[in-house]
Amino acid sequence: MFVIWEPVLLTDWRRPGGSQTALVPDPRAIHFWDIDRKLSALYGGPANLDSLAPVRDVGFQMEDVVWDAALVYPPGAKWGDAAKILLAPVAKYRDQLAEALR
Amino acid sequence: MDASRGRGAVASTLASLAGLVGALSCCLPLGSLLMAAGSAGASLFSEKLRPWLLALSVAALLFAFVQTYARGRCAFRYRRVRTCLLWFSATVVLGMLIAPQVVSTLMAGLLPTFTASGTLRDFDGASFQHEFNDAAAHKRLVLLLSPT
Repeated sequence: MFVIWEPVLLTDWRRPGGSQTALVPDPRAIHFWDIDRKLSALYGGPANLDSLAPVRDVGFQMEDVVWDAALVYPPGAKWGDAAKILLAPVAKYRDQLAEALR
Repeated sequence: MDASRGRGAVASTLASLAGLVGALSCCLPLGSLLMAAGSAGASLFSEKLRPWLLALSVAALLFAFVQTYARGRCAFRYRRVRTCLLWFSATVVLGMLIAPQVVSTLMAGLLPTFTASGTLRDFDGASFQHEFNDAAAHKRLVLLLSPT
Protein backbone atom coordinates (compact mmCIF):
# COMPACT_ATOMS: atom_id res chain seq x y z
CA MET A 1 0.00 0.00 0.00
CA PHE A 2 1.50 3.30 -1.10
CA VAL A 3 0.18 6.40 0.58
CA ILE A 4 1.20 9.63 -1.08
CA TRP A 5 0.48 12.76 0.89
CA GLU A 6 0.47 15.88 -1.24
CA PRO A 7 -0.36 19.53 -0.59
CA VAL A 8 -3.67 20.42 -2.16
CA LEU A 9 -5.69 22.49 0.26
CA LEU A 10 -4.80 25.85 1.75
CA THR A 11 -4.17 24.20 5.10
CA ASP A 12 -1.65 21.72 3.68
CA TRP A 13 1.27 24.00 4.33
CA ARG A 14 3.38 21.59 6.30
CA ARG A 15 4.64 18.06 6.11
CA PRO A 16 2.10 15.62 7.55
CA GLY A 17 2.84 14.54 11.09
CA GLY A 18 2.25 11.33 12.95
CA SER A 19 -1.39 12.16 13.54
CA GLN A 20 -1.96 12.24 9.79
CA THR A 21 -0.01 9.16 8.81
CA ALA A 22 -1.63 7.27 11.68
CA LEU A 23 -4.92 7.66 9.83
CA VAL A 24 -3.66 4.88 7.59
CA PRO A 25 -2.46 2.46 10.27
CA ASP A 26 -1.94 -0.52 8.01
CA PRO A 27 1.61 -1.75 8.71
CA ARG A 28 2.05 -2.47 5.00
CA ALA A 29 1.55 1.21 4.18
CA ILE A 30 4.54 3.13 2.88
CA HIS A 31 4.08 6.85 3.34
CA PHE A 32 5.50 9.51 1.07
CA TRP A 33 5.40 13.28 1.24
CA ASP A 34 5.07 14.50 -2.32
CA ILE A 35 5.48 18.22 -1.85
CA ASP A 36 5.82 18.90 -5.56
CA ARG A 37 2.90 16.63 -6.46
CA LYS A 38 5.16 14.63 -8.73
CA LEU A 39 3.03 11.50 -8.71
CA SER A 40 0.04 13.42 -9.97
CA ALA A 41 2.26 14.77 -12.73
CA LEU A 42 3.55 11.27 -13.49
CA TYR A 43 -0.04 10.16 -13.85
CA GLY A 44 -0.60 12.98 -16.33
CA GLY A 45 -2.79 15.04 -14.04
CA PRO A 46 -6.57 15.06 -13.91
CA ALA A 47 -6.75 15.38 -17.70
CA ASN A 48 -5.35 11.88 -17.99
CA LEU A 49 -7.72 10.09 -15.61
CA ASP A 50 -9.33 8.15 -18.45
CA SER A 51 -6.14 6.28 -19.19
CA LEU A 52 -5.32 5.45 -15.58
CA ALA A 53 -7.98 2.81 -15.12
CA PRO A 54 -10.68 1.25 -17.29
CA VAL A 55 -13.09 1.41 -14.39
CA ARG A 56 -13.39 4.78 -12.76
CA ASP A 57 -15.73 6.32 -10.31
CA VAL A 58 -14.69 9.89 -9.67
CA GLY A 59 -17.20 11.82 -7.65
CA PHE A 60 -15.77 15.29 -7.93
CA GLN A 61 -13.97 17.56 -10.33
CA MET A 62 -10.21 17.54 -9.91
CA GLU A 63 -8.79 20.79 -11.14
CA ASP A 64 -5.02 20.71 -11.36
CA VAL A 65 -3.94 17.69 -9.36
CA VAL A 66 -4.96 14.08 -8.91
CA TRP A 67 -5.90 13.77 -5.25
CA ASP A 68 -8.20 12.09 -2.76
CA ALA A 69 -8.05 9.15 -5.08
CA ALA A 70 -7.34 5.45 -4.78
CA LEU A 71 -5.97 3.25 -7.52
CA VAL A 72 -6.00 -0.51 -7.17
CA TYR A 73 -3.48 -2.42 -9.26
CA PRO A 74 -3.80 -6.17 -9.86
CA PRO A 75 -0.89 -8.56 -9.36
CA GLY A 76 1.42 -8.45 -12.33
CA ALA A 77 0.76 -4.85 -13.21
CA LYS A 78 3.87 -2.82 -13.80
CA TRP A 79 4.35 0.92 -13.58
CA GLY A 80 2.60 2.47 -16.55
CA ASP A 81 -0.06 -0.22 -16.75
CA ALA A 82 -3.62 0.73 -16.07
CA ALA A 83 -5.01 0.24 -12.61
CA LYS A 84 -7.91 -2.13 -12.12
CA ILE A 85 -10.05 0.62 -10.69
CA LEU A 86 -9.79 4.29 -9.76
CA LEU A 87 -12.04 5.67 -7.06
CA ALA A 88 -12.38 9.20 -5.70
CA PRO A 89 -13.05 10.57 -3.19
CA VAL A 90 -11.71 7.81 -1.02
CA ALA A 91 -14.21 8.18 1.80
CA LYS A 92 -17.20 7.87 -0.48
CA TYR A 93 -16.03 4.63 -2.02
CA ARG A 94 -14.45 2.90 0.93
CA ASP A 95 -16.74 -0.12 0.63
CA GLN A 96 -15.93 -0.56 -3.04
CA LEU A 97 -12.25 -0.16 -2.24
CA ALA A 98 -12.41 -2.81 0.42
CA GLU A 99 -14.16 -5.06 -2.08
CA ALA A 100 -11.57 -4.39 -4.77
CA LEU A 101 -8.75 -5.19 -2.38
CA ARG A 102 -10.11 -8.62 -1.47
CA MET B 1 -21.33 50.57 28.02
CA ASP B 2 -22.09 50.62 24.31
CA ALA B 3 -24.49 47.69 24.03
CA SER B 4 -24.34 47.49 20.26
CA ARG B 5 -20.56 47.13 20.37
CA GLY B 6 -20.87 44.38 22.95
CA ARG B 7 -23.37 42.54 20.80
CA GLY B 8 -21.14 43.02 17.79
CA ALA B 9 -18.21 41.44 19.56
CA VAL B 10 -20.28 38.46 20.63
CA ALA B 11 -21.74 38.09 17.16
CA SER B 12 -18.35 38.15 15.51
CA THR B 13 -17.04 35.59 17.99
CA LEU B 14 -19.98 33.31 17.27
CA ALA B 15 -19.51 33.92 13.54
CA SER B 16 -15.90 32.80 13.81
CA LEU B 17 -17.01 29.65 15.60
CA ALA B 18 -19.66 29.01 12.97
CA GLY B 19 -17.09 29.52 10.26
CA LEU B 20 -14.74 27.21 12.07
CA VAL B 21 -17.35 24.47 12.33
CA GLY B 22 -17.97 24.79 8.62
CA ALA B 23 -14.27 24.66 7.91
CA LEU B 24 -13.86 21.59 10.07
CA SER B 25 -16.78 19.76 8.59
CA CYS B 26 -14.71 18.04 5.96
CA CYS B 27 -11.87 16.86 8.12
CA LEU B 28 -13.46 15.49 11.25
CA PRO B 29 -12.09 12.01 11.79
CA LEU B 30 -14.79 9.47 11.18
CA GLY B 31 -13.13 6.45 12.64
CA SER B 32 -12.39 4.11 9.85
CA LEU B 33 -9.12 4.06 7.99
CA LEU B 34 -10.24 5.11 4.57
CA MET B 35 -12.97 7.39 5.75
CA ALA B 36 -10.53 9.26 7.93
CA ALA B 37 -7.81 9.27 5.33
CA GLY B 38 -10.13 10.66 2.71
CA SER B 39 -12.10 12.93 4.95
CA ALA B 40 -10.92 16.02 3.15
CA GLY B 41 -13.01 14.94 0.22
CA ALA B 42 -15.97 13.71 2.21
CA SER B 43 -17.76 16.97 1.86
CA LEU B 44 -16.91 18.60 -1.39
CA PHE B 45 -19.10 21.53 -0.69
CA SER B 46 -17.30 22.32 2.56
CA GLU B 47 -13.94 21.63 1.04
CA LYS B 48 -14.38 24.34 -1.53
CA LEU B 49 -15.60 26.75 1.08
CA ARG B 50 -13.01 25.91 3.72
CA PRO B 51 -10.40 28.56 2.83
CA TRP B 52 -13.10 31.20 2.77
CA LEU B 53 -14.60 30.01 6.03
CA LEU B 54 -11.20 30.10 7.69
CA ALA B 55 -10.63 33.59 6.36
CA LEU B 56 -14.04 34.56 7.67
CA SER B 57 -13.16 33.11 11.06
CA VAL B 58 -9.94 35.11 11.25
CA ALA B 59 -11.66 38.29 10.10
CA ALA B 60 -14.46 37.86 12.61
CA LEU B 61 -11.97 37.21 15.38
CA LEU B 62 -9.96 40.29 14.50
CA PHE B 63 -13.14 42.31 14.58
CA ALA B 64 -14.04 40.85 17.97
CA PHE B 65 -10.61 41.63 19.39
CA VAL B 66 -10.75 45.19 18.10
CA GLN B 67 -14.18 45.63 19.60
CA THR B 68 -13.07 44.14 22.87
CA TYR B 69 -9.65 45.57 23.47
CA ALA B 70 -8.86 48.38 21.07
CA ARG B 71 -12.04 50.30 21.71
CA GLY B 72 -12.17 51.18 25.36
CA ARG B 73 -15.84 52.03 25.41
CA CYS B 74 -16.82 48.46 24.93
CA ALA B 75 -17.68 46.72 28.17
CA PHE B 76 -17.28 43.33 26.64
CA ARG B 77 -13.82 42.92 28.14
CA TYR B 78 -15.23 42.92 31.63
CA ARG B 79 -17.52 40.05 31.03
CA ARG B 80 -15.60 36.99 31.87
CA VAL B 81 -17.65 34.40 30.02
CA ARG B 82 -17.67 36.36 26.79
CA THR B 83 -13.97 37.05 27.05
CA CYS B 84 -13.33 33.38 27.63
CA LEU B 85 -15.43 32.61 24.57
CA LEU B 86 -13.39 35.05 22.52
CA TRP B 87 -10.08 33.56 23.60
CA PHE B 88 -11.39 30.04 23.19
CA SER B 89 -12.40 30.90 19.64
CA ALA B 90 -9.02 32.46 18.98
CA THR B 91 -7.25 29.37 20.30
CA VAL B 92 -9.34 27.00 18.22
CA VAL B 93 -9.01 29.06 15.04
CA LEU B 94 -5.25 29.36 15.52
CA GLY B 95 -5.03 25.64 16.19
CA MET B 96 -7.08 24.96 13.09
CA LEU B 97 -4.64 26.96 11.02
CA ILE B 98 -1.53 25.37 12.54
CA ALA B 99 -2.64 21.78 13.12
CA PRO B 100 -6.07 21.25 11.59
CA GLN B 101 -6.16 17.48 11.88
CA VAL B 102 -5.26 17.50 15.58
CA VAL B 103 -7.86 20.14 16.34
CA SER B 104 -10.56 18.36 14.38
CA THR B 105 -9.70 15.12 16.16
CA LEU B 106 -9.97 16.82 19.54
CA MET B 107 -13.25 18.39 18.58
CA ALA B 108 -14.55 14.98 17.62
CA GLY B 109 -14.08 13.93 21.22
CA LEU B 110 -11.06 11.76 20.63
CA LEU B 111 -7.49 12.12 21.65
CA PRO B 112 -5.21 12.84 18.73
CA THR B 113 -3.13 9.92 17.66
CA PHE B 114 0.51 10.74 17.61
CA THR B 115 1.70 7.24 16.83
CA ALA B 116 2.96 7.50 13.33
CA SER B 117 2.25 4.71 10.92
CA GLY B 118 5.58 3.85 9.40
CA THR B 119 8.02 6.49 8.34
CA LEU B 120 7.31 9.35 6.02
CA ARG B 121 9.71 9.59 3.14
CA ASP B 122 10.16 12.28 0.57
CA PHE B 123 8.67 11.22 -2.71
CA ASP B 124 11.01 10.37 -5.51
CA GLY B 125 9.45 9.28 -8.79
CA ALA B 126 12.15 6.85 -9.84
CA SER B 127 12.41 5.02 -6.52
CA PHE B 128 8.63 4.94 -6.21
CA GLN B 129 8.31 3.28 -9.61
CA HIS B 130 11.01 0.82 -8.61
CA GLU B 131 9.23 -0.12 -5.39
CA PHE B 132 5.93 -0.31 -7.23
CA ASN B 133 7.37 -2.80 -9.72
CA ASP B 134 9.13 -4.77 -6.99
CA ALA B 135 5.75 -5.44 -5.42
CA ALA B 136 4.21 -6.56 -8.71
CA ALA B 137 3.48 -10.02 -7.34
CA HIS B 138 0.84 -8.50 -5.09
CA LYS B 139 -2.24 -6.41 -5.42
CA ARG B 140 -1.31 -2.79 -4.73
CA LEU B 141 -3.20 0.21 -3.57
CA VAL B 142 -2.01 3.73 -4.33
CA LEU B 143 -3.66 6.47 -2.29
CA LEU B 144 -3.18 10.16 -3.07
CA LEU B 145 -4.30 12.20 -0.10
CA SER B 146 -4.25 15.71 1.24
CA PRO B 147 -2.95 15.84 4.84
CA THR B 148 -5.85 18.00 5.95
